[in-house]
Amino acid sequence: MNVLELKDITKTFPKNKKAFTAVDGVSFSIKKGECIGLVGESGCGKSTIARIITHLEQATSGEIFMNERNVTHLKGKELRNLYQNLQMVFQNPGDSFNPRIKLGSSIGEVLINFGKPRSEVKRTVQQLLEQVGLNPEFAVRYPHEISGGQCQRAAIARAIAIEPDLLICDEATSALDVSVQAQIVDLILNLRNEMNMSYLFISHDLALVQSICDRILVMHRGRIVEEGSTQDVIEHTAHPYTKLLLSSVFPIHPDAQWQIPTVPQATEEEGNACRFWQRCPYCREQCKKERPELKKISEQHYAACHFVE
Amino acid sequence: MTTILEIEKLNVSYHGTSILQDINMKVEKGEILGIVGESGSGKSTLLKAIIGLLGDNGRVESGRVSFDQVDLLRISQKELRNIRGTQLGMVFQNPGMSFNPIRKIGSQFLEALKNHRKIDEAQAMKQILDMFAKLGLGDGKRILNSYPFELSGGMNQRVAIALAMIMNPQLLLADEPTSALDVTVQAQCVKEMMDLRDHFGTTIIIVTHNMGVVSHMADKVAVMYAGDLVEYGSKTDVLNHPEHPYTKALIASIPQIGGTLPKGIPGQPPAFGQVFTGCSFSTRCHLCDDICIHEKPVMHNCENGHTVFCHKCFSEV
Repeated sequence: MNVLELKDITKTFPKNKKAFTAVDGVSFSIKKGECIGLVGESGCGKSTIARIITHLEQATSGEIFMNERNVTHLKGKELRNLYQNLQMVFQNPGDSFNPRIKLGSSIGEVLINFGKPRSEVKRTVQQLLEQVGLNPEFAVRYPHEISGGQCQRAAIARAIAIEPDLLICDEATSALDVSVQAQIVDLILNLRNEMNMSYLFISHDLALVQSICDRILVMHRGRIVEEGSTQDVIEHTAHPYTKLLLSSVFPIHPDAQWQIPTVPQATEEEGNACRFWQRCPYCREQCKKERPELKKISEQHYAACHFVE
Repeated sequence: MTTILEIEKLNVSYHGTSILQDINMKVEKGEILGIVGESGSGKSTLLKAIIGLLGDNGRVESGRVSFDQVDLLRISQKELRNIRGTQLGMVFQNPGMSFNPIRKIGSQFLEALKNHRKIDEAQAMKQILDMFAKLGLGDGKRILNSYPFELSGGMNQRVAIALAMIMNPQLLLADEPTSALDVTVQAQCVKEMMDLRDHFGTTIIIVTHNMGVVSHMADKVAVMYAGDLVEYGSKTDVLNHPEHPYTKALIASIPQIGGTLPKGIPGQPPAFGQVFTGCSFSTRCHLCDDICIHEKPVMHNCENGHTVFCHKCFSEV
């Protein structure tokens, strides 16, 4: 069953009297218990998608389904109820808590909002803190009193408090040190096994995403250019943009055979061309005239390029 | 090879809280040194101490930083200002912030040149465009005529590198120059910095938390933890055969393409200014022992100038 399904989502923002299309006809779905990675460069629209799913931003066109129910135009009380199934962890852990409210109260607030009796809240908060590997004493601390990694754990505790079906992590580990990032990733994976939650894991770090996700979506300038199982995307990479992303990751060991890829800079361009053609080494005439649609390469593996087989 | 920068027993504190403890380091001419470590390990502070930008809060408690036989910590502000810019260049993390937002790039370049040398505008412009060409920045005229906000982050950072290099300094200090950039742009920037050494023989000290960048660029690697230097050596020694448990754990926690799940280091990085009687990594180390808690580790020499500060790393072998 699909926990989430996006159908042809488009979002345009006004920009200098012109329309800027941040998300352009994006469709994908997330199954129960699945962990999906969404990768791409800054400005490619990955955070906009997260904001559209969570209704922080209204899509210009397209439809959103959660648990097979159309939730695109929910408002008021119904929208609040939707958040019972949908929670988000933001990039900057320090900014996602109210600095003047103790962590325990911030987490408890969610529980109270969704009908947990007040008498049980304190105990549940302590259980949640333990579940994410924090000392229950942290409930009486303020956000500024704890480190970034601890704060992100608390943010996760708050997000999983009401056991949502889908957790969206928007660059949830980007602000953290690698040693702490690995701890948080470990925590997320454990929670997934315990609670069978689905994840949308948004990140610019392809190496991180491929180590934890079942499926990967690669976004480029508002469109999904490649979609497939992690193994397919990493080992049988189809789209030239994904290849570029993969080859731009620096290997850690110095003796690895590796060359820095050289790519020309692209300029903003309108019209019906493949949006990657200026940087693409395989570009041909057709690419400048016709925009490629997602093509099926093998079972569950799609890429938007004219020249993939 | 001649030593261009030598740091001896450097201690730095902010508001009386010790940030760097007894740092010793030598950088040879034409070498690229990568300094890695987590946030709060003091790596940026080290760079700022070298170039004298610690600000009002920071204080060098003791130690010596000699650059080309001159002790940078004991010369006057005026002399230091002459050295900065002409012989020492610096690139900062946030490319948007290293320029004045309300002045065009061109005028900021001119200012830098005119401050250090008598030069007329036409000559200066030619020199600037030459530098742009060497760094692969096409369309130099347009860049000079732009405000910083009109350029992308990656472009700004490349222009910042050009500005740091315009006086052809002997030593370039780069503080997380690629961390704010996308991977594809990051690769481009790294390439340009490496070209600098090939063109000008510039010595580069790059501070970053990205092991991959260091592994590609650097000749020597220094690993810092909580204000201590914990491991130092050539990049093949440090990255392929790390000796210090922290370096090992740090490498294991980095996600790699096609690699296994990254492993975290248990516990939290030490708080700002936390004081240790023994080894600073003892609280998170799986080899930790009585001696680690009570005694500061001394320097152990492995082969080829590979040095490690750890009580345990040799007992295991």
